[in-house]
Order: sequence, then C-alpha cells, then structure tokens
Amino acid sequence: MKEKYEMKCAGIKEILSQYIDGTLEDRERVAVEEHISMCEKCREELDSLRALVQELGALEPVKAPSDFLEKIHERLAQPSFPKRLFRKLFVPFPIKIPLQLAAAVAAAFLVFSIVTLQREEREILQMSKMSPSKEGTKKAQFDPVAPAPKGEQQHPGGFPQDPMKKRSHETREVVELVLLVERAGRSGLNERAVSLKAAPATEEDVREERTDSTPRRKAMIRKAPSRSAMEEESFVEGVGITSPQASRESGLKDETGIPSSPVENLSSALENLVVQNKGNILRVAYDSASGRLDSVLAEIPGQEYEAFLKKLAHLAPLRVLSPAPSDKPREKVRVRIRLLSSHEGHP
Amino acid sequence: MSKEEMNGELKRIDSADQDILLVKAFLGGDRVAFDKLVLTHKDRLYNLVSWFLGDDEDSNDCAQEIFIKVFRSLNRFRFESTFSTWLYRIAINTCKNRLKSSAYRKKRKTVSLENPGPPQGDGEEIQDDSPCPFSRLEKKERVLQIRRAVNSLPEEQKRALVLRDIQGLSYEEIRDLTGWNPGTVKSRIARARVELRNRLEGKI
Repeated sequence: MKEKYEMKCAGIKEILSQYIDGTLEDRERVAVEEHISMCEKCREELDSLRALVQELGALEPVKAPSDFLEKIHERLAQPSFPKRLFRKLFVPFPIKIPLQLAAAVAAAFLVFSIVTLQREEREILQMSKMSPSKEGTKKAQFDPVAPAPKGEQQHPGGFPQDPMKKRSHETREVVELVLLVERAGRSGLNERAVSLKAAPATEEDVREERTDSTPRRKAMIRKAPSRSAMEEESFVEGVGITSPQASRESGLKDETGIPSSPVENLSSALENLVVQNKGNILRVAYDSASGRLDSVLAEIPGQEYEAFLKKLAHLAPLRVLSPAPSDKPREKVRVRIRLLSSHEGHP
Repeated sequence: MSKEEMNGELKRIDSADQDILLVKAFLGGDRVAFDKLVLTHKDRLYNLVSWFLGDDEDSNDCAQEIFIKVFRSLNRFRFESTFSTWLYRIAINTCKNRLKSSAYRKKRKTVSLENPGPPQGDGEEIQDDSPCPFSRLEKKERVLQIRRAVNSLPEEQKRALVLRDIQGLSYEEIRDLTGWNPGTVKSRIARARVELRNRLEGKI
C-alpha cells in the first residue's frame, strides 16, 4: 500500500509543473488536486515550485541600453564581412605573420609548379608569337655558339640543356629541334616544292610516335598525311616529298614566275644540310589542315651532329628542346626538326 | 481563458500585425521601419539574450548582432510565422553558436574563476522603486542568486526555463522555436524548475 502511495507521489510530481501552468487535462488536474489534499509532501513540493515560478515571472526584465539602436546603425555602417574577415586574418601584422608566410609559401609553390610543368608549352607559344623585331634577340638567345647562361647545363655543342628533358630524352632517343621560319602569311604558304627525300619510316619510328603521349608532344605533333596519301601525292620522282597543297601552290606560282620564298630555300637547304652531313631523312610530316611542312625526322651520324646543328642554326633561329645525346659517343643521332612560323597569329 | 490572458493574446495579435506591416515597409525600402522593429523588440530580445548568455557585455554585442542579421536577411522572411517567432529563432541560434564558441567558453571560465557573479552594466540595472536601501540591496542580491543558479543549469533546461518562465512563452511557442517535441518541452520545463528550486533551496 505504501509502495503504491509513493508511486503515486512520483507520478504526481512529474506533472506538478504542468499543473502550475494549467496545461493538464481535467482528469489529471482532478487527480493532482485530490492527491495534494491528502499528501503534505507533494503539497509542499507544489508550493515551492509555484513560488519559484511566480518569482521568476515577477523579475524585472533586463532592458537594452539606451544607445542600442545607435550602436546597430554604427555596426551596419561598418565595412562588410569580407573586409572585416581580411582585417581579422592579416591585422595586426606581427601576430598574423604565420598566416601570411603560409600564404606566400603556398603561392610560391604554385607558381613554381606552373612554371616547371608548363615551361615547354610556354616557350613554344612565345616562339610562335615572336615578332620579327624580337627574332634577333631570340636568335641570340638560342644561338648554339653563344655561351649558356650561368648555372645552366650546356651540352658539347653549346646548347642550353634543360634537366627536365634529360629523362625524356633517354627514353625517346630523339633530339627535338625547333626551327623558326618565315611564312608569307596566315594562309599564303610558300613552302611549296619542298624537296626532301624521306626514307621509308621504320617500324621503330611508328612505334615511337604511337607510344609518345605526353601533353607537350601532343601539342607539338601535328599529324602528317597518311602514308598512302603521301606515297600517292607527296612523292615526286627525283624531287622528294611535297605536300598536296604545296604542290598546287607550287604549280601556280611556278607558272606566274613568283620567286621562291625563304621557306622554300630553307626546306631545300634543310635537305642539303642533312645530305651534306651524311645523314638521311626518315620522315616528313605535314599539317593536315594547312598542308604546311610541319616537321622532319632525320638521322645524323654522331660525329657530324655538332656541325649539323651549327649549320642548322645559320639557316634560321634554332631552339633545342631536348638535349643532345649523352656524352657517350653514338653512331647516329636522330633529330626531329619542327618548323614554326614566326608570323603565326600576326597576319 | 481569463480576461487578462485574452487581453494579452489580443495585444499580441495586434503587435504581430504591426510587425508584418513594418517588415513590408522595410522591404519596400523604408529603413525607418527597421528602426521601429528594433525599438519594438529590443528589450524583450535583450532580456532573452542576457539570460541565455549571463554576461551583460556579451549580451549587448550579441543582441546587436541578432538585429544586424535580421537587417541583412529580412528579405528571406517568408511570412509563414510571426516576425517575433522568426526573430527569436535567429536569437536562439546566435546564442547557441556563441555559447559553443571557444572564445566565449574561455571568457566564461576566466570570469567564473575571478568573479563568480555576472558583470554589472547599464543593462543589468535592476528597476526598483522601493524607498528602503536595504530592501533594494536584498532584491538585487536575490536577482543575482537566481541568475547564477539559472546560468548553472544544463543548457537545454536553461533554454526551456528562460523561454517559459522569464519570457512567458507558451508550450506551443517553445516547441515552434526550439523544434523539440511537446513531451520534451514539458519534461525540460519541469526538470529545470525542480533543478533550479533545488539549487536555490532555502533561499526563497
């Protein structure tokens, strides 16, 4: 009986708070009233809670300061959140310096990464955009006989060596050269009658072209016309390879008697140069869109290599993108000569 | 519903309608309408924030911040609740975030070690017309005791008690503001009262 009575007390105490607030249903309210009329303990509990609630309700509210609205106006007129955040992060200087250092280091790392990874692409772009007035400067910069800048590696022929290239060179075994040539204009191609004799491409060459898929190479390599097309249209007996467009242009211009362009001379000279240096042309690639001569893959005897490069540099401004073969003497050096126009993008 | 409660309810409805008109005026470009909203709600809101945070200096800053948030986000008010409910929701969230912030915890720890009582400021002044200085002092001391005891309650009990017994909100309003279910609202209010009574035992 006592246990039952105590349980009832526990149940009543749970709802005393709601009883004070008047939120109980009639049945519960009556049960509470009946219980407290008999139970002194619960009545005391109710009285103390009711006194507390009354006291809390009677407390004077804390009022906002008199200048509350003015302060809000002042704060609304202050700089916006991003500006305040910037100040919070960087001011005062002596305390926030680690953040600034971190930011500076991160920025430096980012710049270094971009410069290192995209160096080649940017060089090619600069060269292609270079105006004739700047060409002299660039030529001097790429002059194979000029001494390399301090700290820069130099291969036996005097060309600047890029350490990044060394690794790729070891696997590719092809020296990448870029020759800056003058074109007549954006569409007026003068490199007709390019008389370059190409030896049939070996399987090794084809494999090399297929496996090499670095972004730089992808950007540089423009597809040559298909082998069959080259055989049908580009081979001219006793002359060598001529692009289809170049052939047409050549015919027209020959008829009108327009003198041959510097590029034409250069192309012929290129062939002569390879032959003079006891080398042979392995492959000739054309730009599929414009039909321009794009690159020439040739093989030069090791002992002739340096002389070949020097003569090549006399033809037109030359840039060696990948280094010469390592110090150990080689029987033959394979070079890919790419022709880039100094007028591209400048009609 | 008694006559007094009915009068209070009617007053509240009038006030809610007035708020809606002011909000619409503000959204229409009338910045004075915002000032009127601030002046209407500042004291009730300040009281709420002051009980939640228990720190006068922080309460002032926090209450200002709440109205600045209101100013900047009033265009997102959808008129689905009363303006005061929306304002209180912002206030509760802002106070919760402030209480969670490490800066506040650090400050609170320092204050409790150096001076257990809440700091006194302009907003903390107790209004009392009692002519007797002793009586006034006693009353002030009593208020401080209650504030300390309320401030020592678990956060959710404190929130329930302040909303119900200090601000006088109904159980339904508390449910809407806090998102607690009705049973939770009832039990938290009941526990908070018992807990506070126990902490103030013999002092009533």
